[in-house]
Amino acid sequence: MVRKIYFPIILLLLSSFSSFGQTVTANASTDKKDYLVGDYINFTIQVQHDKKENIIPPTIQDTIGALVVIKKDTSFDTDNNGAITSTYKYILSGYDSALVLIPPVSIQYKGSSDTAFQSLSTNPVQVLVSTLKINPGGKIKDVKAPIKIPLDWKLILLWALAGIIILLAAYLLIRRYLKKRSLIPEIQKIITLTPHEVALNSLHDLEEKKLWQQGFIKEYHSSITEIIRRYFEKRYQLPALELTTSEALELLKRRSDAEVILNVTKDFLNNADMVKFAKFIPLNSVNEEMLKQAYEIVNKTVPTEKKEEKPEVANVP
Amino acid sequence: MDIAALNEKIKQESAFVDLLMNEISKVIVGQKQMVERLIVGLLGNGHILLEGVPGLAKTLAIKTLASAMKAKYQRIQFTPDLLPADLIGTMIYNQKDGNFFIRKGPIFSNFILADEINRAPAKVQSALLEAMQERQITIGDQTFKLEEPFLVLATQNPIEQEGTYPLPEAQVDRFMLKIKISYPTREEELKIMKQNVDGVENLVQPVISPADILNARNLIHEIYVDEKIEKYILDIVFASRSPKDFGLEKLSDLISYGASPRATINLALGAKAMAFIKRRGYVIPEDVRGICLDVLRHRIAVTYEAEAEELTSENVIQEILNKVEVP
Repeated sequence: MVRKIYFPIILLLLSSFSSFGQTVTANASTDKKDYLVGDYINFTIQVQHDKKENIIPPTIQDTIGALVVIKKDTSFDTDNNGAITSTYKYILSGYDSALVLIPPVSIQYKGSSDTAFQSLSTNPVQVLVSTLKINPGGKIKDVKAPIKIPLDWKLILLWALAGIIILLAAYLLIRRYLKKRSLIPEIQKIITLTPHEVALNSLHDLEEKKLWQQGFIKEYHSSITEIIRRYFEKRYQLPALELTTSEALELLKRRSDAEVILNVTKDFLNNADMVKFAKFIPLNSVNEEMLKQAYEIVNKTVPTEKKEEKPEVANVP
Repeated sequence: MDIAALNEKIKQESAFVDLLMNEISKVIVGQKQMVERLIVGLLGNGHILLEGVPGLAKTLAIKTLASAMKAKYQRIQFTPDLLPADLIGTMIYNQKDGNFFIRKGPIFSNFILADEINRAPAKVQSALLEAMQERQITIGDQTFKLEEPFLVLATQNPIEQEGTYPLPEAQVDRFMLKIKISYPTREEELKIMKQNVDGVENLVQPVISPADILNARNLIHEIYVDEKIEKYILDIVFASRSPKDFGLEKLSDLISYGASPRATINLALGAKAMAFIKRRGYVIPEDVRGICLDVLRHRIAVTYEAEAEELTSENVIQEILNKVEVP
């Protein structure tokens, strides 16, 4: 019987503890009450609670009532001797003129002794969004000038520095190129020798070496034919060094300006082939004749310069 | 030996070449290069792989050569069902006396025309190529030396490759020369037409004997090859192996593998044979260049890249010849 009386009393006591434990309060506010269309509305939610209470931040999506959420600004907690104030700031805006009611925002929390989340709501906030008041009798004003962006000196300095570096690099490259170009004329001086000048110089050098007189007959014939083949390469643009005697003669036959040397070249190359490939030991007179033939081949094929016809000058009295 | 004396000797001994060529030209119109290469193969103791479309007188050429030399000739048509025994011979059981006796195959001749060699399976090709290399045949427990001169002229048809057994590179390398023959000129074709339609058969008379060829082969060994020519041959062969060393960087990606040492030997031998045909006792660069394409074309393999660009081994050889300096 006694048990039957105590049980409801205990249950009543437990339920009263839980209502006494709820120290959470929530408050919503705006910085002003009157706004123009498009103005930023600073909307703040403050939740006071104990340290032990676990607060879930309010979830506000893209819109709240008739207002648009521009951005979620900041959220922070302030501690005042164990009493915590959680602040959540939002920037809202309205695009229609009206008396707008920001609806209550639900906040979830859970105390240390709670087994499930509980919720409470903020107070509704009313704001007035109005349009610009136009004075129909007022003066017509011009359109506002575009907003001038203030100069960013850091950026200007950066650009200037980059410009200086580019100019410096360009200067160095041009100086290097000019230095290289100044060397080119010297090289050109060396290669401006005509093919016959090169060949005649080489023949003269070979003569000076006196190879066959020292017994180097094969070397002499190899060198002399190489000079003439190189001469053909440059003079007639033939790959004479890569051609056999018969092939070289065949190509020379096709050149009208080589007609004068065809017979002498045939004798010259064939004789040299005999010495080079058939162990043929020629007489001294043949060796001398080879040099004469080589000179003849070069001298007879020196290109004649075309005489420039001067335009007749009219006899002006 | 003195080169002048050797030159004189070669001039005298090589006179039969003109006779032989004249005799062959009675029957074979044009194809001078093919006939010349046949003689090079004969003198160089090598074998020849001939590639050309049907009807270009490949068979007639070797038959005529055999007739002009009074030598034995056999033609073997290679087919997929051919067996090695059909080629080299076999042992046959004689029921009368209860013994086996040897029946020699058609390979026991001086000149063999292995027609369409790539139509026979690998075992028959191997049997022939072994005989070509060893110059002897073993049937049962008996070995027979093949009669000299022994020349195999194998033909390949560049068209109709379906159902063929292409010769492996290692076996192709055993042929001294690979000759490619093309169609005759208009004038030559007219002559061929008249010659065949008139019904007058030109009989080829034997102008030389096999002994003359063997004698010429000995003489060819004496032909002088200067060290400059030897270096030229080596340059050509080495340029096919490492083209970069010869300033032929562009060929590096086009050559799969270069010419073998057997190519070097055959190039030197071929050049000597060419000098003999030209009646000289010494080799000149023309001889090397003249035979180079036929010696190397089957010994240089090109890459897939080269094939994609429609470049053949002949293009590669031509590039090498254009780059390597002639001594």
